[in-house]
Amino acid sequence: MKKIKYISVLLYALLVYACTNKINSPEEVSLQKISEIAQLSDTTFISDVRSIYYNKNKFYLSDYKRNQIIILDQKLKFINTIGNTGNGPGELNGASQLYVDNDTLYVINDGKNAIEVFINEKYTNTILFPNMNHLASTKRFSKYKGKIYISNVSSNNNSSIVSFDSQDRMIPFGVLHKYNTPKETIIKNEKHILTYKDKIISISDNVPKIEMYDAKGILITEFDYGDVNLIKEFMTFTNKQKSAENSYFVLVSDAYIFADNLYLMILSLENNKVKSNKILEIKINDNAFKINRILNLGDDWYQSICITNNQLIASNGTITVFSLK
Amino acid sequence: MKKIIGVLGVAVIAVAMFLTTNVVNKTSSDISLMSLVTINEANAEANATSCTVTTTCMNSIGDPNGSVSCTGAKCSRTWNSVTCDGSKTTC
Repeated sequence: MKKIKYISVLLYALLVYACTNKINSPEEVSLQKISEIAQLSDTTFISDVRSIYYNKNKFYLSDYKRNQIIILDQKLKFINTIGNTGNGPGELNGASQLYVDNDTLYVINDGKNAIEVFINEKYTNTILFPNMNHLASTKRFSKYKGKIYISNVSSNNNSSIVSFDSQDRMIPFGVLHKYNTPKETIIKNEKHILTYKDKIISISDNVPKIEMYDAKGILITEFDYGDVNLIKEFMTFTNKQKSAENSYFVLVSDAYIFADNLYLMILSLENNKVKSNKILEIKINDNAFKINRILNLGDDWYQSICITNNQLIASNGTITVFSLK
Repeated sequence: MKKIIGVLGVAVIAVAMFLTTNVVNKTSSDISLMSLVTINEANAEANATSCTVTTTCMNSIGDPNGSVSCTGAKCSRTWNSVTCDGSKTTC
């Protein structure tokens, strides 16, 4: 009888270990590279793509060096460019993150601390942020029911996100994690903001935390994926590095939602070197998150991603297309 | 008998010389290999793509106010930050 008890306990322990190990070490899948695009059909070159967005069978790429939005069709054939270098109306001085809502294109103009708005590929207006404490110009932003949601850290309001509508009515919300100094608090609370159904998803760029809010800014749930071995190893490494109040290691360089999956472009360690070639695929199920798998893009260093039905587009300056199954 | 002793003596000396030479060669070949590896690594370091980026910081009224820079294998910059190999430094 005792023997059966011992065996049962042992089997249970093995089962628990197996389950925990599966969660902490998700399956890693190497994606197959289909094609690379560096030159457009108008003979110009893609040089520094910081953000990619897919909408209505078109890809929109923001090129920071060209100061243009490049529009490609579904087969990645060149269609058009929007914007030029400058500080005038509709001109760009650091084309950073972008978002497309039907015929309206929103582009963060980094040098102007503003969002440029283009409707049907024509410039219409500029949204300035005069009272903003810290606009996270390199982080994804999103739109839901006429409101733009963007990471903006405000110590005064104790918030890390702001929503604003067409009348510029701004509502601050979002958890603000306090650090040693106000400057550290500001820079380490930058988040990628995405929308999923009627929810706002906030992803920290330097700690393994995801928050889910409703459209009014009420926190619904938090998800910590720091137990994933790959992440744990990287966080241990970054915590050992010298730190200053104005610097930190980026953990999530980009985030994208397609169907019911959240994709995080993460930095990791390979042979003691920092790499940016892996994507964490997380399933969103109502108000819960579940780690699916890790997608490996190979040896290159990637900084932004975009996902469609069966393809993953990644930017390493130029564009690489992977088969996604 | 003397001849046999002489031949054996020569043979022993020859074997001893052969073994010594072989040991010396082995040592020197190890050193050479190590040197080559070191040189190769040094060359690889020198040939590895290295980049440095700098951003001039601006104060609230748009005047230059210092700068931030970093060096690494992968670099990028924005109007108020630089990032090298995943380490981001802001103004």
